[in-house]
Amino acid sequence: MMTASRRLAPWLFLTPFLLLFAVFWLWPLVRSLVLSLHHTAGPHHQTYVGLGNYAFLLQDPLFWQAVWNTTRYTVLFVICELVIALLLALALNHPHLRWRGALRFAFFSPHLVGGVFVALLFSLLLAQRFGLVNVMLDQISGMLHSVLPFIPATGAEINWSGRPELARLAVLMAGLWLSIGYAMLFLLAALQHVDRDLYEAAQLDGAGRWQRFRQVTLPALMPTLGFLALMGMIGAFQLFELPYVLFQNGSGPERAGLTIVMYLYQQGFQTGDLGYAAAIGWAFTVMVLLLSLLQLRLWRRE
Amino acid sequence: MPFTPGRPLLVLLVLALVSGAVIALRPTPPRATLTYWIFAEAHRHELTPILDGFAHERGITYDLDLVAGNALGTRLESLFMSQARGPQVPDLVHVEIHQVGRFFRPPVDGMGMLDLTPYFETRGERRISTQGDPGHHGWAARHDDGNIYVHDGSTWRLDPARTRGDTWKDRIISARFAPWMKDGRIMGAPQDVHPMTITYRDDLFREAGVDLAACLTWPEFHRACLTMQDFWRAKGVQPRHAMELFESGSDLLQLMLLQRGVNLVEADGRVRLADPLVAETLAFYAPLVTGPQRIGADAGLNIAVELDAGTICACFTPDWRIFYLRHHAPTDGAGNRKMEGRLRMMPLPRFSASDAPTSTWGGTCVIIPRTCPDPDLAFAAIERCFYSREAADVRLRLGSMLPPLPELWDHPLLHQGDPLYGGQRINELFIELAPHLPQLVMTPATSLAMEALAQVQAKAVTRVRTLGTDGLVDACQVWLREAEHDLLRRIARLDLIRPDQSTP
Repeated sequence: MMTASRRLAPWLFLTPFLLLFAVFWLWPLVRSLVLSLHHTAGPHHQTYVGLGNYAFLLQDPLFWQAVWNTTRYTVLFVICELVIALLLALALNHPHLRWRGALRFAFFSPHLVGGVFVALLFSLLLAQRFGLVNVMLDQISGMLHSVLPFIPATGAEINWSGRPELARLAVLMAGLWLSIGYAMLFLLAALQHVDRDLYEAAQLDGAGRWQRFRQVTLPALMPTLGFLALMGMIGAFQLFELPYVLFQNGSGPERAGLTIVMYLYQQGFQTGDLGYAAAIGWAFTVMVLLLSLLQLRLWRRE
Repeated sequence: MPFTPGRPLLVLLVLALVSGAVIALRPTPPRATLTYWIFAEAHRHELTPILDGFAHERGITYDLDLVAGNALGTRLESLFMSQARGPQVPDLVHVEIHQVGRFFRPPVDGMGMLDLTPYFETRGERRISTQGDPGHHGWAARHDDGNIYVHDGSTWRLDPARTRGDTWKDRIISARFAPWMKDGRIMGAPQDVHPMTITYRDDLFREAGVDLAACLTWPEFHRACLTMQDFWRAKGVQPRHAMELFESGSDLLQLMLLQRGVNLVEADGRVRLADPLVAETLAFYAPLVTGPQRIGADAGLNIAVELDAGTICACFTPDWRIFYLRHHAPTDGAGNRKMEGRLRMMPLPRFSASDAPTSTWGGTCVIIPRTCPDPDLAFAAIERCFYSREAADVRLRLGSMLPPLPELWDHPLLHQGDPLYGGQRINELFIELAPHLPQLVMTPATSLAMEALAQVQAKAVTRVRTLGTDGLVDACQVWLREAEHDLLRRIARLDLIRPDQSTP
């Protein structure tokens, strides 16, 4: 028969975690759920509105614009990230490539510096007239224009944060620059675990390089690609600091940089509407949860 | 006794316990008598010598904590929401003008900051010793004999009807209280004025045969800028933009609106987003930043570099920006500023004669949290840092901002020529413009209105780029009405103002 102390022992070990979980996760979750049912104005003024915040959310065009912006960014980001990271991994996995280690580190290093730094860097790179990207575009397009006059010279005046389509592109470029190295590293690891015998067998069966890639490499990489797609989707849905810094605390031209998390931040911390911000947070959580479940189910079916 | 989980875990456990105990038992450094949160390095630079003197005189200690702007706002929000008391509560906090609206959501008695009205209405009473003391028409002061005297333009005369002389509320430039007031109560102490001018590269405009300072209206200014750009384009100098104007972000458009007496949300709660003046101003502004009539561009890296390079030849300059231009102007090998003597300053052109010749951009107030341990001491520090002659002397030597107390505008530093501006007495221009400063109002709905205006501006700019300016005013009016409708929905939901107070 188990003694009382033996029965208590597991709980004793679990207590620190449970305490931390209750204080820093469970209580804030419950509190934010309660908050989402209120209008707030400072610490003393809370009015219970039931599902009023959620009802407003459903009719709020800015929320839906944020959802659309975030979804569009997520789809583009995940596709570009996986494709580019896979190409990079394949290239950097080549046994005869020189400086493989240095190149791998170079591509991975942006991931180490964080979103805010990358956003600041891109705001300098994309600055009008003085930014490296604009200066390069100016010179390259100028040279091409002098040889092939039908190609327009762009000039160095491109205002990346002034036009919606360019603003979206700027955020996407910064996001990819930040994340591709991370995805590449996972794919490199996965590539190194593909069974060599399978390649030899495929070669003996007369498979070319493309067929070997399609029939051997890609199926072997599918679990990793699935994981990266899920992580990429969750990360992209949380997009905040890149547009926030790039557009200087705003949401960019025609709200091209308004994401769900930025809208949550604006409502909670700029307008001071904590109840509505909590409602946005819960709606966002449910959306990400549903999308993740859907993605996992689709991936399992594959 | 054996430790079953193993020695490594035992070591980790011991380390955790020992370090935890050290942290728990570490003596907490005593809180300084006065804790002051600021967000700008320039403020630290100016306030340190003043607070040194204040602390020395009173025999107290102080902490001047530099916190990043956004972090400070969030920290303050948490402080107000938690209603914290005790040593972590600061005595004084700088709040930037774009952040203040969010703290104005609760009613006055529920706000996190202390109502400073009683201090401004009772402290800083003007004093005179003799009837021959200097003064201006209408000033009221308490004589050493205890009576109240009023200045009639030539001398001080006894006014038995008055019970008190002018206090800070009467002495500080009134327009600067407006952004920090809620329901008629003063919630933040003004520390600046920020009148607005235009600084321009006189040499580049003159070479193009343009006397920019002669432009009294915005359309004249626009034409003069186009002439200047055409001149340089013909000479093959490109890019040479006449003026710094933001293609996205509505800050500069708003300062033009302010010049015309329009706050997007007025102090009484009226929303003026769909006011025809807004549509008209926006339709004037959008072609300035795009299309064939363009004269403006965003500053790529920093405006001092752009002015120096002549890629942008003019910019809006509130007084705070002068410090920035002085310190970021590129220098030659010998350390001399390359554009020394080439800049000039002018008042803002107007749309009509009734508009103000200036506007205002930016601003900071000082608040005292409601739970501050010693509000009297905190307010005394405000008086010392911003309303005393000693402080004005320090701040003018180290910075470039006009003090909010007009009596201090006789300081010699405010009447010297500026070498960067070819000896022009730019502070005298600021002083001349300061009494015309329009009232900038900040409400909980202002940030929402500003964002809405920025989005309509983006639409207007896109329209000018793709379709030109035909029908632009009408299109702007439609977009602004839609934006106002949406804004009113949000405001009504939050019960910030009455929803029927929209633009008629």
